[in-house]
Amino acid sequence: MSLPVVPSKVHGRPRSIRDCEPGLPNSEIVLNGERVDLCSHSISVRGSPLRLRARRKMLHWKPLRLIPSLLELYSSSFNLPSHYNPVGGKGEVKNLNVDWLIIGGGTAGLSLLRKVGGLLVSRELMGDAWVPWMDPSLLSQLKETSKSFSEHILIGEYKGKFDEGLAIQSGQTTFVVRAKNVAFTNGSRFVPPLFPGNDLPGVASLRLYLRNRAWFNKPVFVGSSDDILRAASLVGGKVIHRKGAAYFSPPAVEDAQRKGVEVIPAEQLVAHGTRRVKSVEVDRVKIEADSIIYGTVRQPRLEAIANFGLPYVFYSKSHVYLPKHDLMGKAGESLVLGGARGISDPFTSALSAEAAVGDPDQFLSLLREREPHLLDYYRGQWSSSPSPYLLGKDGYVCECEDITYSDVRDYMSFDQDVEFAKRAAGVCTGSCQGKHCAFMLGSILESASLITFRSPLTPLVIP
Amino acid sequence: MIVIVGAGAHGLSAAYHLLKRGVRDVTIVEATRVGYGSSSRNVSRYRVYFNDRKNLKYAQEAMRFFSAESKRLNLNPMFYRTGYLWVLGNTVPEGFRRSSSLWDSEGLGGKYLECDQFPFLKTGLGNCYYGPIAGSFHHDYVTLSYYMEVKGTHRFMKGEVTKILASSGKVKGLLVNGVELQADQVLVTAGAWSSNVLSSPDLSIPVTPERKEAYITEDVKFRVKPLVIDLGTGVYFSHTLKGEIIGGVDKGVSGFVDFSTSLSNMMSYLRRLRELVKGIDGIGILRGWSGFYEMTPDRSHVMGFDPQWPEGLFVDAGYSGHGMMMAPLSGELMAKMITEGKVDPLAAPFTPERFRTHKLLQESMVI
Repeated sequence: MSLPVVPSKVHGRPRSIRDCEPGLPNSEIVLNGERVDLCSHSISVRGSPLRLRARRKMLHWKPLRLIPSLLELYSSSFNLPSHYNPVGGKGEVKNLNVDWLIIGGGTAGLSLLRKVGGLLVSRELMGDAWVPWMDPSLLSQLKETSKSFSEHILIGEYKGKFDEGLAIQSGQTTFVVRAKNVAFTNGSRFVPPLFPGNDLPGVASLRLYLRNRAWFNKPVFVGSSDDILRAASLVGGKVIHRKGAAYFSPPAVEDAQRKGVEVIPAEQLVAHGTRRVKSVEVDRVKIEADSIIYGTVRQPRLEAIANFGLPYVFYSKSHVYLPKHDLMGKAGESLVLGGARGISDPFTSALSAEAAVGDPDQFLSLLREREPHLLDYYRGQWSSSPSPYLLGKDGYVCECEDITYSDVRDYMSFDQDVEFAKRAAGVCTGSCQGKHCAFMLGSILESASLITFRSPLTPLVIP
Repeated sequence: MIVIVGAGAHGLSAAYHLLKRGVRDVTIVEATRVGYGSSSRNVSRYRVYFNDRKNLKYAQEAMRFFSAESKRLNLNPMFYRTGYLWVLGNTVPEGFRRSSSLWDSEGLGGKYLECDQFPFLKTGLGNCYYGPIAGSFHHDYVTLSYYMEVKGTHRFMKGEVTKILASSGKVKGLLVNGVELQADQVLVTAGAWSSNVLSSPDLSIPVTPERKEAYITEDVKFRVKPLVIDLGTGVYFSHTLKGEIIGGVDKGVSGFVDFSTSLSNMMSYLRRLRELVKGIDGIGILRGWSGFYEMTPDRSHVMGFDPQWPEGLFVDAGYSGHGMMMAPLSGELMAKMITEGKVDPLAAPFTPERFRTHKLLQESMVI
């Protein structure tokens, strides 16, 4: 099995999957009308050899406006699906009323389910709980919960808030849920950093690395989170992080050092290669590698939370966009727990559910020990660090629409926020709807707000 | 000083055309952000097909102006002719026939044909009507071009306008977040919120919000060039050059309701779209959003002033779903009106006093 390679939409660059999460760039391709999950299919597709790799601003070139039909020609050169085959079956809509809706079935979600019951929705159970550094006793407790509470669990994709209620797509059925209480335990993700060559196949999230180790033989690890230290510890690799932006906890650093991990602060990273990473340059020093595994920071999957109507802040200390919440995880009338509030350690994540139902002591001491980078958020005061994503002056910001950092910079003299970059340069308007670029660009621009995350959160595909 | 209330396409177009006339003392007051209202929520299509002759004339001139302006602006508005295609079914409704005879008499070149002649449509849909003088553009590139042009010169202020201040028959200023801002002239281009700005008993305009939804699908190779309007269901859609199919339904909700979307509207839109277009049976909806149509009683816009208003107060709002396409020309006409004190003959039928004197237009073509 080799890494899948598919052509990008506009520039026709070779790209690959970075993370198995549905809705992220290149997690799926439509071939001959059928959806192919690149997480489990090692396919290689080449695009048309003719490709216009121009800067975005060329679209605004005045002579071009005299021949508007050129635009149509440009558009038809994109690598896009020719058609979509019918989805089998007969769709139906069902209404549900529940006391508790728990969105996300990972460590925090299952731990809360054990306490409050209700309905838990998840696209796959256990989430991050299968990571190699998971504690076996916690893992078996979660397994036990998912068994004994199986009648409370709905396997499906949360699609967001609508006039009628909260929508969940489960197979052919669309559920519309009205809930008295909502808890977001939908976890977090890692967003790729910015550097030249950051879109090459072989640049992948640590989640994909842990899932498909066979695709990555000689990885270099990049990131500022405990998670990247833990992943690098598995093979004793090098961890590169942006100088001045390291959010490691002391226990994680000690553990990584014991396992032979070398931590290197750097300012510039370049990936070389044509159809996959062949080598890496760190502050002009060449390293042989076939992949760059990133775990930049643990960014909560904020789209669902913001789409629900909860406010968020840019926590510039560790460059995460956090839903506004208190120490107990209360966010307005709702809860945000585990990865959704930026927690990465599995035990702390599980205990965040205990804290939310009134048992905070153990949680608070673990939070202090294992997630110290988050503490200033609760103090309401923090100092800023450089963006952990910024490891080069160019690279792709928006993979779906093939927009580079240079394209964005062309317009940044006007307004420096993500919404403006979206409107002027077209970032965050492609198939992932900003799940990567909004956060990366937001951090680089130190944008107070992102974009409006609209429903559906991932494409609504119905029979 | 001139104060413009609302930094949408209309306010910014007026600001730009004022600057072109050498007027530099302009402040633009915006409650949220540039283009927050209908300017960033529309589906960016233009047409000359209206069924009141005055609107039709206005639209014809607006499209000529837009086309010329699109070659000058900072960003490329991608003004592009695609036509509109009405799917009529087995019989042609009487009302539609009346509209098409008006369009014929104005030489707008539309024609009835079999829908089967359009290869992207599924077969057997019956009669269609194709109107060629219509097309698409990129709304953000219009709004932002104007914004970029004026940002260095005009002042921008964030705040909500709650009251227009006047004394002895003249505008004196306005209240922004409760604080007085002096002005010699005030232009209200606040879209659906214009009636909130003009809300005192002697200063009111009948503009009411109606929330409507729009959706885009996942990407698929470009094929649906015209804007298709399915007359029976009110579903309309067209391809964007990026590859998504953009469209909506004509179902709306009145009032200042949340900008959310309805799952059942979205699903019925998707189902009808897949029934009409070939090869997209399994396509999904990527995103939905909503915005306000700023409706007036005669579904036509309000521009200019009422002679009974304090001198120096102007409005340009109430476009009832077709405001974006008119923004370039309307900004130019408003700049002319404010600087020269003259109402252009094109603008004359649309002044606000028509609601007081009951000289309403006969318009029903809202898409």
